[in-house]
Amino acid sequence: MQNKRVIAAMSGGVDSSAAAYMLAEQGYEVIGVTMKLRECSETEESPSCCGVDGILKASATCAKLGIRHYVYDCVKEFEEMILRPAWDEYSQGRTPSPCLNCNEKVKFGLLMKFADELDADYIATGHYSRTFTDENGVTCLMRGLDANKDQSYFLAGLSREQLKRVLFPLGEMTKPQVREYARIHDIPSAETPDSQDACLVGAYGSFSEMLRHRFGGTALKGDVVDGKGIKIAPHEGIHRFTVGQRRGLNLNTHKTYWVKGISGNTVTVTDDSATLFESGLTADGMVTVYEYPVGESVRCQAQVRYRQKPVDASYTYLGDGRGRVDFIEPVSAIAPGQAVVLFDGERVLGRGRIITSF
Amino acid sequence: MIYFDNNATTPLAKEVKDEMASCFDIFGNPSSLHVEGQRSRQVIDTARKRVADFIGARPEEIVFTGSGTEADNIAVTGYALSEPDGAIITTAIEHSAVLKPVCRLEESGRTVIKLLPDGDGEINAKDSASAIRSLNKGLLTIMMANNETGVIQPIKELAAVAKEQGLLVHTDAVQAAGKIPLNVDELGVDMLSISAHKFHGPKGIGALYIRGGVKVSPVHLGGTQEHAMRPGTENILAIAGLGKACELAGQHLCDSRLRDMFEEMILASVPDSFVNGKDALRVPNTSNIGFKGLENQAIVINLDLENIAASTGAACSAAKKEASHVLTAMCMSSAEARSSVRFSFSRYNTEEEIVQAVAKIGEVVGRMRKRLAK
Repeated sequence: MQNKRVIAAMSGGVDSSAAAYMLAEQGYEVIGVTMKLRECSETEESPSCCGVDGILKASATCAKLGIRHYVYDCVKEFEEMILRPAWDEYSQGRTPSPCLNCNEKVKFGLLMKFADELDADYIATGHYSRTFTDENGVTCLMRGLDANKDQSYFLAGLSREQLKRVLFPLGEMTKPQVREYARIHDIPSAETPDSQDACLVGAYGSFSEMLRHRFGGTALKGDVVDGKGIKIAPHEGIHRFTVGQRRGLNLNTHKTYWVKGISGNTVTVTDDSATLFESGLTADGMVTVYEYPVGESVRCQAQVRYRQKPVDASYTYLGDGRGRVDFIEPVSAIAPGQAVVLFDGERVLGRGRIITSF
Repeated sequence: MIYFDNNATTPLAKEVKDEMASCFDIFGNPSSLHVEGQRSRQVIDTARKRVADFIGARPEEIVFTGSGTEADNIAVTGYALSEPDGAIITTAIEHSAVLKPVCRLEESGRTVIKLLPDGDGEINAKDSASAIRSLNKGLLTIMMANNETGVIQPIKELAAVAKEQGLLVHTDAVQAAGKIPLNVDELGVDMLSISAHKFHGPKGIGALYIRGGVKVSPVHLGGTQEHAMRPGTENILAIAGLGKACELAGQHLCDSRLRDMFEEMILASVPDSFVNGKDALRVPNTSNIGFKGLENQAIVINLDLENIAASTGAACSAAKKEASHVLTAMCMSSAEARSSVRFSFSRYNTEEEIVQAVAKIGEVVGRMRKRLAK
């Protein structure tokens, strides 16, 4: 029988390189693919997940393995499916989850299409996640064993169909083990520092400012006010603020403030971080592994940003892709636009986009 | 590997390799007076004669360059440097080695006219004549054969009109050399670029023919090598290789037998396939084929996985997914352009390879369409 063909997404970093290496060792027919998300001319200071350096490292790893390597041009798709919608969110005072969308639509979405075109059985990545198929044949995402590197939050948008064809060779490993593996096998990126999923910040200092320049957007300027509606300072655009933000508010005061909410062109701040805690949220664009009847509540744990300890909650499907999450203990800084991800222990149950909090 | 990407580059001919190998110990600086220098000078002179013979020129009219791209750049930019108010007339389907220097001149305010091809990829000589006649000072630069479609442009006719107007004429013959006979006098051109690796010579060496008496300023400044048109110590090995490749090409101009066989078999056996530029005069080794509904990048990768080398277009832009500027200038929809794959043959390909490749292409295209239909 012919070996199963796998498209290995390779950023050039140590994780994806090690993942491809392992699969090749296991006897898969591995084809290395580096997704090119931006033009080479857009050089940035900081290393990121999609640079030219990555292409070279991925190519070197493939050459060492004696497997083929291709660069898959996704520049236009990345621009239209990820960056532009991200700006739309910022311009309305919401905080997008571009990495989550990028995984769902570009990294896995387009790669799956590519895998179809190349008649591949699987796609593989170097994410620290696992999949699990239950007794009914339903495949869902599971957290990786290395809790420090677990990226399930960013992968929560993947569909059941996508997950069925995904291999995560690093899901059972820890980062130090992966580095050790890479050293033993003399993988070219064995010593490459960890990249951040932070593309394209460049000279503008922040992701949202970069987007505004890129799409010629207008900054919606206005005032920063306190809880009583008293003006503290003017601001340079609502896209610069995120609920829960403390740094870089430029309020010209020694007092500490946190962003409490953004409405119209007004940014409301508070000097009492306790008021940032809220007991629930509503979300749209809910996608869940299992179907839940409208109005019925299920126990789960929820996470409203990447680095957050999941908290006990109850989820209620409201119909039309909308849902409501009630936390058992209040949660701080729930930012509209960010993803809410639901877990059942290690298992990812689903995700949606936060619209309001209460 | 079945190698059908000879417009990207070609394997080195054994004779060329031997010629180059025989020069490995010739190290003298060709500009030196001593005998070591003279030996190197000999190698260069022999090669220069061979190149000149290949295109019907005199040896002193040949300038060795580092590539076809460099030859094109010297022609365009060198002309512009010597004629500050001369216009440039070119086409929309040139290689970027011509298009980019022309665009830079346009950005700095120079008059530039870009001619458009017809649906078969040919620049129509009659329609272009009036554009050429609108100028009385300038450079006409038109490629001899297009790298993507292989379509041969009517250089002779266009050059004749340009001459009447007192224009200089340059042709980028990089994709024509070794495929069709070239004679600078018959064509009536003042400058002509070639590149060795497109016809079984080494990479990193090209030549620019500059007709005696034609005034072009050097782009790089330095020593007096190559009549100061291309300063820098000569790349003797590569120059020897180019000379030999020209001599060989003069003896083995390729014919269209393999290409015709390939196209006939593809059209007969692969549904919804079409040949770009089919009704135009083409170089005999190039076939540009569209497979409706599919993306060329995926086709080329699938073929690579089956050990068949083809291309999505110019190798220089193969990593880009955008539709080819050549095919879109031919008024093809971008979907049609993006479905097109270039196959280019050489005298080292065989009928057996054609038969094998056509069968594999049919399989790959069929499988891709089936998967898409799901």
